[in-house]
Amino acid sequence: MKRIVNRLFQSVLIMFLVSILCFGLSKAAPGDPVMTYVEPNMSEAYIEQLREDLGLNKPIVEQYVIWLKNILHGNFGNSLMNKRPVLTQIVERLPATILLMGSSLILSVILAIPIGLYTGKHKNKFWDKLTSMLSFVGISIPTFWFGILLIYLLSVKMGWLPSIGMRTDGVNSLWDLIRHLIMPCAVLTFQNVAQYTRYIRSSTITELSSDYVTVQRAYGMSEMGILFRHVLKNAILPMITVLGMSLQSVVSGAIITEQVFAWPGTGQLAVTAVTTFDYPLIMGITMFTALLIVIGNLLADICYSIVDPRIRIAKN
Amino acid sequence: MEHLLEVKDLAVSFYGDLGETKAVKNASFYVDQGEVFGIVGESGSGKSVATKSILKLGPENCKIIGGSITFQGESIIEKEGKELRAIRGNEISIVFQDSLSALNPVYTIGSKMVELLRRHNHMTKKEAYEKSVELLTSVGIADARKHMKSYPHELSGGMRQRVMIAMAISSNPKLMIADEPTTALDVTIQAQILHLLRDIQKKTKMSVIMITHDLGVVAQMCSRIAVMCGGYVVEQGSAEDIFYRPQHPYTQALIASMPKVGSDKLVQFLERNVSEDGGDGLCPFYRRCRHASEACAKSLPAFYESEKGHFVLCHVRGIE
Repeated sequence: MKRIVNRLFQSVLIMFLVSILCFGLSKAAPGDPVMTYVEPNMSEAYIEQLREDLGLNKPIVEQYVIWLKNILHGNFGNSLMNKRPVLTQIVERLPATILLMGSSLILSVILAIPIGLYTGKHKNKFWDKLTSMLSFVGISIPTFWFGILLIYLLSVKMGWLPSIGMRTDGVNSLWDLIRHLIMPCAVLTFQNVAQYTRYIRSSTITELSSDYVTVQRAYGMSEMGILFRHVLKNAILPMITVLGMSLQSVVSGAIITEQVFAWPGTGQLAVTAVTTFDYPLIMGITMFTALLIVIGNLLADICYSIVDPRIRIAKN
Repeated sequence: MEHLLEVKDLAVSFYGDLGETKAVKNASFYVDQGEVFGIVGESGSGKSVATKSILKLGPENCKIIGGSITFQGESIIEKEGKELRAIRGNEISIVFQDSLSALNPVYTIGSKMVELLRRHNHMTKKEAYEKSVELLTSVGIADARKHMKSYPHELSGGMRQRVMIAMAISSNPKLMIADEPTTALDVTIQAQILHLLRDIQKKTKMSVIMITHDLGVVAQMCSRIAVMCGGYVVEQGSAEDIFYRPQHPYTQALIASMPKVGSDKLVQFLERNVSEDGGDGLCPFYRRCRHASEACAKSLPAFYESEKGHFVLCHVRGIE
């Protein structure tokens, strides 16, 4: 318990440092924020007045404090492009991203655990070698390439699936949503499964060669029993860390995949923000992502100590 | 009389990237009902592999390539799957050296005991739980009920080894294999564990195979001893035979290398260099043996029975 409180403090500190970095970088970036407000017929004095009103003439530390205060009140400022609040924009993108990333994450774990266990158990056999090869393919090929390939095959050639977007205009059925979801979800899942399988496979191999497995064998436990009752629980421990790290993606989205499939999620929003130099939006998304990374790691730590009794002791 | 366990001409090899490695070349020994049988030898002599083969417990790349293992008149080598599992942990149980890695870190002692008991016996969870507490108490764990909820890393090495022994005796096995059960423990705990093993053995009349490189342990515990070297059983006989009348030069060197009270001299054991071990079909001690004769360079000696039940694998036996 004490340790969790400790970690909470750490997390707050990290977020504080991230906010300084985030603010500093956006200040250091080229471009004068006031220029986005400027219109050709404005006078110099008016622009100066605008600068003053926006607080851009204040010392940088004061500017930072004001910005931080606003953020803590949930005010991330307004987007430069469409003048709408940053937070609102992020929040309205969330459902799409959570649907896409959540479904692919869950699917990935469901697929990767049995595949990893099986290939770890049957190391260097045919199926293991085949999955290894596929894993390397999955890790190596860029998502945009795979995405475009899928669009070409399934949408252009076969015409089975819609190529972009989340819904067909005017259609509001679940089936339509699922049809749109299949391809981007498949691209992300393929890559995730490729990675997770490698993790689980290697930890399965390590666990299978440990003494307690021999002991269980010596005490007459069946191979299946050993695999599912004893190895599984140990083998998925590293996955907790990996999943903790991926938690942020559920909200920050998959930048490339969302772009390829024109999926209206936060990843796409981030791309738009960057290409239009929309600093408040970029900062908002960055802070949001950082917060989720920190939370993800915190959760992973807590889960770890629940699953692995050795960690519980190390804490005290 | 028929022996409880008889191992004849056992040969076990590992297959790795470097080809075949012969861990056990020729091991023959037997264990009778109710006796404590010791197997001694230096590291890498094949003693552990030979005994693990009794339960076919080697890793995947380890194969029994010859010989026979007979337990209660039935050949174990041919057994697979269910039949084999019915023997493992039930008729023959095993205690390992490193008790920390031998217990799954994420389960409590109690859950493991209960699981084990219910695998070989028809018991309800409650019965198995009570039986576990009883077993743990019988191996000298105070507060057994409390420790049912402990995780392996929360117990001391000695206590973990007691838990292992409790697991090993849970199904009243006919034979217990103790694979260096005290090597990882400090000396006072070693003595406690040995006492415990001996008490249990006396009470239950089960047979024990004691694998160790510690001659002191063997002297305390065993009635008969096999000495292994380079994958061969080079000498076999009663404890008195081996300790008072060692015949094989290797056994003699082993005994001479034991530190003695009152002597400030340590006799150095002939240094071992694996590549210098005798080739196939030669005495494994040939290159290191002071007494080696011409005959030793030509062929593997046959077993010579120097007295009743005392066998020696040597061309030049009986050197003083």
